[in-house]
Amino acid sequence: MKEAMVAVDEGSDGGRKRTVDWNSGEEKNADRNSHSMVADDGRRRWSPLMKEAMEAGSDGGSVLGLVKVCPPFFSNRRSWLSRFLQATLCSSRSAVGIASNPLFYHSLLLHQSPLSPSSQSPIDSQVVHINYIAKIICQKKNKLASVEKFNSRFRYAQVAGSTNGRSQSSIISVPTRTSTESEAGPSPVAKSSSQSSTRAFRISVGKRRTTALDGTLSSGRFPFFVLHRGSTRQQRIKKSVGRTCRNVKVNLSSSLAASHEAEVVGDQLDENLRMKNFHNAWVKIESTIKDVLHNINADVFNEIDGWVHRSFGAICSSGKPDTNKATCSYPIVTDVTAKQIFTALVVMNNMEFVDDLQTFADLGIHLQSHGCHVANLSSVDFSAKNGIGGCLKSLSRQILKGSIDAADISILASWYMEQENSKRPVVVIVEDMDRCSGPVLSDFILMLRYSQLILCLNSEWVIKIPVLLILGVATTLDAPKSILSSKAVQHLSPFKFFLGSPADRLDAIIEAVLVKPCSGFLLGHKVAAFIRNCFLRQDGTLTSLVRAVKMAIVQHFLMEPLSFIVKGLLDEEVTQSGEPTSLSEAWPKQALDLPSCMRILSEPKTEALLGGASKMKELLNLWSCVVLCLYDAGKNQKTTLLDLYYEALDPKLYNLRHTEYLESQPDSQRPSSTHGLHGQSFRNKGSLIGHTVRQVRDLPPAALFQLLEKWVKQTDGVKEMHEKVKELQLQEKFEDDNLKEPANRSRRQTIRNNGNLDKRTKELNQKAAALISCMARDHMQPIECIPFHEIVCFKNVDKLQAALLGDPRRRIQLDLLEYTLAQEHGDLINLHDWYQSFRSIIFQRPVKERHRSKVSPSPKKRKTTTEPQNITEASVQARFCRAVTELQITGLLRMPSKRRPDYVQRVAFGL
Amino acid sequence: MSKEENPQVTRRTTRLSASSVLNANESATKIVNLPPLTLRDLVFGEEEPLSFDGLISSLPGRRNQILEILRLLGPVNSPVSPLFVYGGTSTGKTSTILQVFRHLNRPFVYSSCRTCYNSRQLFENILNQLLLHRKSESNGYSSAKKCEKQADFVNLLKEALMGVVDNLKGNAGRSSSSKKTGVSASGSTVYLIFDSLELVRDWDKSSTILPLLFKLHDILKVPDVGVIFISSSSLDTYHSDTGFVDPIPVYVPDYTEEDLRQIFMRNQSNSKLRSSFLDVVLKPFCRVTRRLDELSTALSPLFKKYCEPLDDLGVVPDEDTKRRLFSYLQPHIAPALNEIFRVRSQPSVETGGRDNLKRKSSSKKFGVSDSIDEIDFHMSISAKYLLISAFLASRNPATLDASLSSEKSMDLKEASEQEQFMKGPGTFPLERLLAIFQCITSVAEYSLEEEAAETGLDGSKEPKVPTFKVFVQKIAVLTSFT
Repeated sequence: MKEAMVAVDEGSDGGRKRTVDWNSGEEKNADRNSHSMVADDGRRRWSPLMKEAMEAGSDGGSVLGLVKVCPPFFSNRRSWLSRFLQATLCSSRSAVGIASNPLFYHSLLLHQSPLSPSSQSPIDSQVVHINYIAKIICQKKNKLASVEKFNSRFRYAQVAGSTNGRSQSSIISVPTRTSTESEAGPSPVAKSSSQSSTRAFRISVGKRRTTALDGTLSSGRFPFFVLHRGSTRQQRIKKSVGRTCRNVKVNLSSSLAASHEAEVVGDQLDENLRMKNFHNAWVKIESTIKDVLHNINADVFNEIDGWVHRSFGAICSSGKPDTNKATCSYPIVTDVTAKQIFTALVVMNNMEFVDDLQTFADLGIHLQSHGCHVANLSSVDFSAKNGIGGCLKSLSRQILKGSIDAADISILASWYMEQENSKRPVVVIVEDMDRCSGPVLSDFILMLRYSQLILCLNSEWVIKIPVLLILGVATTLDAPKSILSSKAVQHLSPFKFFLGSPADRLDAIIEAVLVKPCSGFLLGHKVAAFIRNCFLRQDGTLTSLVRAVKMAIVQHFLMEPLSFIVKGLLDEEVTQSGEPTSLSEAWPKQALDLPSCMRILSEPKTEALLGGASKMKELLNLWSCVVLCLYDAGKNQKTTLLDLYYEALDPKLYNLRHTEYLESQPDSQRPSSTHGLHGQSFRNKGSLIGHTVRQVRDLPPAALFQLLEKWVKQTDGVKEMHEKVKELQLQEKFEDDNLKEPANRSRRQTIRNNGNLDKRTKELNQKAAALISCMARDHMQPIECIPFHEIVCFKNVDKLQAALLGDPRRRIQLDLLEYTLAQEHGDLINLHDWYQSFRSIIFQRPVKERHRSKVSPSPKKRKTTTEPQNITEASVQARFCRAVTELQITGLLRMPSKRRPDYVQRVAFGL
Repeated sequence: MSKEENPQVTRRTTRLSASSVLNANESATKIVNLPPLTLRDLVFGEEEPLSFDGLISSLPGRRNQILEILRLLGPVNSPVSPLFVYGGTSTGKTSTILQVFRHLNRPFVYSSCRTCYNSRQLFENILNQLLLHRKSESNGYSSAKKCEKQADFVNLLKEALMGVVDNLKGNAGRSSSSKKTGVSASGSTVYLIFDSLELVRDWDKSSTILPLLFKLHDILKVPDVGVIFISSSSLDTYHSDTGFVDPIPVYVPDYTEEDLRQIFMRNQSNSKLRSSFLDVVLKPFCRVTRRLDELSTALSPLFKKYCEPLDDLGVVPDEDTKRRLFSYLQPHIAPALNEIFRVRSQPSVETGGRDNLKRKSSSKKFGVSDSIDEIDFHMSISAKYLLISAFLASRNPATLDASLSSEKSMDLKEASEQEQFMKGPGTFPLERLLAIFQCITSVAEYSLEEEAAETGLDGSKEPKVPTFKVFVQKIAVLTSFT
């Protein structure tokens, strides 16, 4: 591939040009090019962070739009991709949806770095590239599928593509060609054709078909631009370090005056610190989440492990026949279980299976470490399209650790026989049974049963292949009944296991990550509301929630210049005693300009700076302690921590609290009437906490006692509350003793005492309720009410929303113009003419209007004035190309064919 | 006997077990080298062939079929025309054939179209067996011959068959002199057995493979070969062209109740107890199904239940105990009867108290979740709305959409809903689904906006708009139907 492209880095002065030979082995350049968006001086530092952001915000969106477009490559890749995605992701997932996701592409482009110097030939680099893309897709889909799998699929797609006789993008055709050629011996025709077809990109915007072969693509009338255009503020951050930081400060925490020019030198240091802090925080959060999930799953995993070994024992023992040959040929009649497959139904209680992919992978590893042969299959393997062959193939690939030409269940049998000594069970895990194709899974089960029976008929073989199935059930236990054929179902001997429900897991994560200040990073009330809404209404997966948190962290550290001091908060426990010296230093003066400070602070400023960190820490500890106490109280009434957390963060509520709303409410609503309400929605804002307090009032003595014990544990180390709780618990104990006594006494006395007792327990309940409401009132200070909270707290919900949800409407508007233009043409559209009309319209439009459509950042921020002609030309071309591919993906266009390279074909009419 | 229990003949050697036992003590990582296959592996590989009486007694109720098959197979080395054994599932077709071959001690090649899920697998499987090839680690688990085309298969098969037959003939000469090698095949005719032939109809190229298989006998033109098909559907169901002679059909009928009783009585330690159990149970169950596999899965847990009150399983039950046991069992029979239809899948029925301690709380929960109105798996609200709208779109005619969201003509609505319900779900365009979804969500959003602190779904589904309330109630009524 000798195509040359001109890269125009608009961020640098004078539009520095760089020629990149994409495929002919000069990979250094390519590599640099892919980094070029962040390559200039100080910007490189941010590239990893941006990358994180990209990954975190993979669900669309635009904020991080490092738009980088290289027309021919781009369009080819897209067309390839959409085909590729269709081939790999089957019908169940919308290939178009992914492919049209703009951020997906951005990250694709961002990930070009593996086109690295290490890869020697263009072919190699492309293979690497494919692997990489496959990996990205895996990440995007949160699938843990191996890249290998994609590769094999991909080959399939290639073969399909080559039989179509369509022009192939070079990415597609190279790897198989070479492999088949090496097998079948060189056939000159195939070789030459492959050369010609792989060496040329067929899509070009030239008037005639541009000769791509001779490497002078730029000789056409329209040079091909590689654009780097930051669509939002992030771009500016990446510009010169000092100045951007100023900008950010001005814009985001508007309190900071722009007059701190003198501290430019310090900024760099700060920025390094911020970067470091970000990494620390994220690593900490990630590991915490992992631990939490691990703990939650540990019990179930052990249970399953026990079951596996028990049933393995059962199989082995039932496989031991009475050495009577006559009985042995009739295994079923005497022994039903022998012909059944032990099956564990792991109920996930979650319609979205994304979260559980990791769980099942972990389960596989867990079982493997306990001496099982494990194969993890997913619904992709059980697609109707691939049939039974597909799942057998991936099964044998995983178990035999090598690719098998024609998978067959008898292979498994021979393999197991060869592994004679390692008498270990074979566990097949099917991750998301609900999505599997029923007939295929049924066939698979019938076949597995065979593999047991093949050996079962022979008396001498004590061991059959002990296959155990683990099916992940997303919905209800009835699911296998409805999916599998009756024949298959009756061969299952099911056992059930329950994974923790997603709500429980979510609560655990929130407790560990957000309520307990583990990372020196917290969410504001509105952000919490946004995340909560996402979880309840839209996505409902932990994965997306974690991603949202990650995005929030990225945004926070990116935007908040003061976040470099978070480090001080991270050094936990040391500051407990209130000595601020353990903090790295007192907080800098700028912190005083934070709005929260201006508003709240009344004491001398230097003191506030000195003690700010430790004080905040203290307050946070108190807050989380009270929240957890409340959670304990509300737990048995199904109060989720998610709701409680959301409410406890509300600053308005906290301010209201001082007007004694907690006090008044329980009185206005009598306890008895509220009792029936639990689980229902609470009409008033903030009544969840009030409700919980009321519940404490109605608790039976035993439960109250337990609750108090929990509180004692919870408040341990918090001196303000611990005392009181302890006191209450003592009282309770005393009462308890009293309670027990009457049992020994005569009956009459007991009856007499009863009324008395009731009264007294009521009293205790009252006291406990008073205590918790007092705790909530006095100590539960939301983060947003604490001075300096801007440093650790992320509040900008709009940013987060934009990053996570994106703005599909904008994209549609962009493409609409092109679409209307396409309507003017007939069946075939000349790309050149099309582009010309597109271009002329764009140039006619006044600058103002173009910027209003949010396509590009406002003119002042960009240095458009320096070379307007060049840049607009390039960007217009880029927009054009993107829109074309966009149209192609929606299925309105067909890309140029071999015969008419500069024409696209309209597919749909009259829309 | 269900027909799925099929021996994979090639994998069976008597020597193998000996070697594996020897190796059992050695290191775990070592890979056992299985001994090479010999011609003897083509026969059943028993020390002594099954006697005729043993054959008859091992298959209760199949006496006529056995005699028929034996007659058709004829004496040793006599030419045989293709057989087509058919009958319902789980009637003992496969077992009958295999036991017959065990009795006759003739070489055969068995391949099931269930494990071989496409033509290539089938071809290669047959060739592997004939060429005495075993897939193993050393050969990369590959087949002896790569064979995808039918023409190749015929040629290779012919070649392999000739070789095997020649060898068998040579062996037959020698084995008369050296008897100590144990069994060797009697006769030099090799039988090809194709099991589960009905599955071939679903294969990609079934239209060409089926005729090939049916014609195989004619095409091969090898006299010493017999072809036997086993199928659960009759010959008429194969769209056969007229180019070949129909194989001789052998029908295997369903078991009678008496046959079933005999089968269930086999190998019981306490026959009296078992028979009293069968007295109680077999009749009602036979009314529901005669399939052995279904019956055995249903009866086995019941029998365990039946024996539960007994301390000593060896007792001979008198009338009194019988009555007692029956009254104990009675409540379990009816549910088990239903289960046969709805297919038993309820977990931990027979796991019993093994490790139920932990699961007790959850199983209680499960009992609740059986009722439809409670969903205990997590689903985001949007997903729920989408489901509801899909349901509406599939059940209601498009004309009803507008009227549903307004509040007029309730009777008409109800009537039409009833009618639609009877018709079952219909198809609908995607746009309509989206429109309904939009409608639901917009109303829901509106209500949510009013009370931001609203929790779960129940709250959000109770909006202020009365029409929507009606709407939701309708949905509730409809969903409870399904």
